[in-house]
Amino acid sequence: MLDLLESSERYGLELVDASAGRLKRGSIYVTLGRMEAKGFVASRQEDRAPGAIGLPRRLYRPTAYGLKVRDAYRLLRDALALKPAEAK
Amino acid sequence: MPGRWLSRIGRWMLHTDTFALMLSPAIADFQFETPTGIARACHYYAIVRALVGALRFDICGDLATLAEDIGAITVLTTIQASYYAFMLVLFSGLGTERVSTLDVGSDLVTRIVSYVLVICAVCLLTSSACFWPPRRTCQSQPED
Repeated sequence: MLDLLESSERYGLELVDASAGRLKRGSIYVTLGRMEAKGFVASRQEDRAPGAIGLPRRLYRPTAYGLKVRDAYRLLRDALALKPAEAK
Repeated sequence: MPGRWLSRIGRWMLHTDTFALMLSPAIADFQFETPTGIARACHYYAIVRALVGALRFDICGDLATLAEDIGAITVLTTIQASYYAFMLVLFSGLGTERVSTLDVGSDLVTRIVSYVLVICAVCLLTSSACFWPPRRTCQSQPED
């Protein structure tokens, strides 16, 4: 999710479309909300024209902390994937 | 405007910030797309799932907050349970008989244990209600 957000701000549904089926629209908003509560992503409401009806959509972007956590997770995953001989 | 009643339910059931972060974006995307047919049903399903997830998130947060007051809740529950158990003994007639004359069979023990458990459960519920965290609020959301 952080990979998808890295290039630009996106809406929840854009993330679902960009993920090629890996993210489900039923769980994306709860996951994004939890990630925001943990400080991995930040969000803002879209700029709207005056008189627009309906709820404002929410745009998400990764925080510096979120990207650091992602990089750390990648390092850990790569290290765990190494065979003992390769790790030396 | 589609999703209006789900928005009302969400505002009523969820904390304000949970609604703003988890349910409101789902409804907003649905209102923006305004799908029809099967896609509309899928969107509704997604919103309901977001509502359930947000509700679970809120309840877990509330229970964690309640756990911080576990001492006070225990004391309050014990006081209430003792009071109602005493009243039960008094009004059931057990309190006026000598203990030696009582027929302490398994039936009586089962009944007493059942009554005490029910009393404790009800007292725990009412005590928890006293300490249940209030609705968290953040910025107000514009009405749809």
